[in-house]
Amino acid sequence: MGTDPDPRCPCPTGAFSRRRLLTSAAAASGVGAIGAVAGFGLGRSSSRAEADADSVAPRRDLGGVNGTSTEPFYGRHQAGVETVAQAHAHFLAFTLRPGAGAAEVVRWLRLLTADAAALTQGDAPLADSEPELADGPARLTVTFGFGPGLVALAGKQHVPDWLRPLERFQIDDLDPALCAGDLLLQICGDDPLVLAHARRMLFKDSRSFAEMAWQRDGFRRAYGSAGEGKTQRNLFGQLDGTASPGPGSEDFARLVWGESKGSGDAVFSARGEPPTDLGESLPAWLSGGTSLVLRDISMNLDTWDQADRPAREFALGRRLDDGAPLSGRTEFDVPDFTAVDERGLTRISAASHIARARTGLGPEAQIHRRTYNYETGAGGAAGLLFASFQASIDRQFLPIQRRLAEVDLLNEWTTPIGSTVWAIPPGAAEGEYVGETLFGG
Amino acid sequence: MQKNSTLLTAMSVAVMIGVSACAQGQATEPEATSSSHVQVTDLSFDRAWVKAADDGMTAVFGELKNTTDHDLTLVEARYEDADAVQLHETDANGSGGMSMKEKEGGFTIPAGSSLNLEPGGDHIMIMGLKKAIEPGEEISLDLVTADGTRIPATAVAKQYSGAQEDYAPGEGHDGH
Repeated sequence: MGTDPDPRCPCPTGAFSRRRLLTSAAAASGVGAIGAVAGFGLGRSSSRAEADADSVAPRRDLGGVNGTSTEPFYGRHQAGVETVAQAHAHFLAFTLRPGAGAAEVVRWLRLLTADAAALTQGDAPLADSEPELADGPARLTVTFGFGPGLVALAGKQHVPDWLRPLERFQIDDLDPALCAGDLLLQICGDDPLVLAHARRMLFKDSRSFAEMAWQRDGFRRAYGSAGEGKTQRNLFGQLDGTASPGPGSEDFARLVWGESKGSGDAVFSARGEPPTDLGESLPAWLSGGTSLVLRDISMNLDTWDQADRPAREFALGRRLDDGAPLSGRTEFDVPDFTAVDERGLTRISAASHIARARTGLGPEAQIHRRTYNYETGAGGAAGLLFASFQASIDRQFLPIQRRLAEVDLLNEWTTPIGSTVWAIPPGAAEGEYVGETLFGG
Repeated sequence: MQKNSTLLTAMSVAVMIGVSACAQGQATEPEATSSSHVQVTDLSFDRAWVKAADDGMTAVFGELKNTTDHDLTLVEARYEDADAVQLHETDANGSGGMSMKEKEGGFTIPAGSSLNLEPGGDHIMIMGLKKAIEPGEEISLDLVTADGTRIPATAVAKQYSGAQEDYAPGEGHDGH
């Protein structure tokens, strides 16, 4: 998982000094820039943020500053992918009503686009009966995903090969109801009231076109409570989700958008330089877009409770408190899979999560994970909404997923119960709707 | 000549109406803009929407904006696919409900001001729909001011549960 260079990585990791690695991570807006990840893992904890937290007395923001923060809606890419993850997320999957065709879809997308364009900027959409609830968007984003059924309405030739259910993994126990959907809305923001209103508005404008297939609400640390870029923890208590390409980096552009930023002085993560051709799996209408694999991973908190700390850390390959690999001292130390303890046993099990996720894969096998925890109440369902963005599912997501499905000690406590694959269309320009590159103006 | 002038004026107005379809804007000739009357081009209908409906009645809402230095009055609205269109005002009926009646003399938009047409308030009432207005559809209608100028406008259809005020008894309308 990781935040560290992989000693078995075939790429020239030797070219990277530790200093340069840290620089790279810092340049990546404080979000872990290094390593490919799947499943559950450890992220990079920002030592700078920790230092800040130690030196500054706790104080509350009484000004509501974050409420006025906005993320742009219009642009080459949709927001909500490269956007630093907000505190809350609603995932809504819709199934088109029988008989719906391209004309209906275009009307629907126009409505949703207009709603999202307004709501994300703190403005009430047309016919909003609670316009005051649109105030203070707090970084609201609405990201559209298209399923194969919706894309096919524009013509079957537009459906890319990868836009279909993933292959079956032996760890899966999928609920068909959680694997459906023609259109996905990923609604993220730092304010749950604003999110509820946005969801209601988007739902009201969807009812005549589609029915709900499934929905999940996810959460991370609240805005302001942990500091931006600091690794969040999942409900197992593990630091989770840092090892993603940093927003704005050349890594990110290649791995997620499948294109180069064109800057000549790129700094790459310890995984090495990602190839520039990952975008080849994106058809023309997806230029500026990407793919999303959304896995609903159930976490069994009850059996996890039966595992004591040594067992938990053994399964993970890292310490729970600071995320350091069991072979090292800090979260950023390179895991040494050959290090042995006094009994001559390797400190990091070859079956541990980090050993399985980190080894043997090239620099193309990296994904951008944007995960959210969920829990439906005390004693209810708990898990992780594992949102993985990548230009190429075949070359990036699947190699990692196959290894983890094959062997990963963490699989003892986790079960994928939902799995969907989405095409994330490019962003819209002002006056356009999301999906116009597919369905036309 | 008068008719032609009005038409050109109307076309130029469409360009500045924020919610207008692109198709209308594209139809505008440069000379149309230069020949338009200032007092007319400065009335716009922004954020316009219509309540989606299969049949019967529905209503159009939005913001009428007058950027001239004199009052303008909207006296009529026209919609092709309906039996009748009226300009309505809504009054509280004293018991939490609202009642609608035709606005005598039309809507006056004061100089430099806006008039919001909204559920529970003034609105453009469409009666006797000849065909359904589907959610997401953009309808075209014409607004006519007191000086006879016709202003084409568009409104996007939204599924909406409100705007169900009853008519006041004795106003000569059938109930909803």
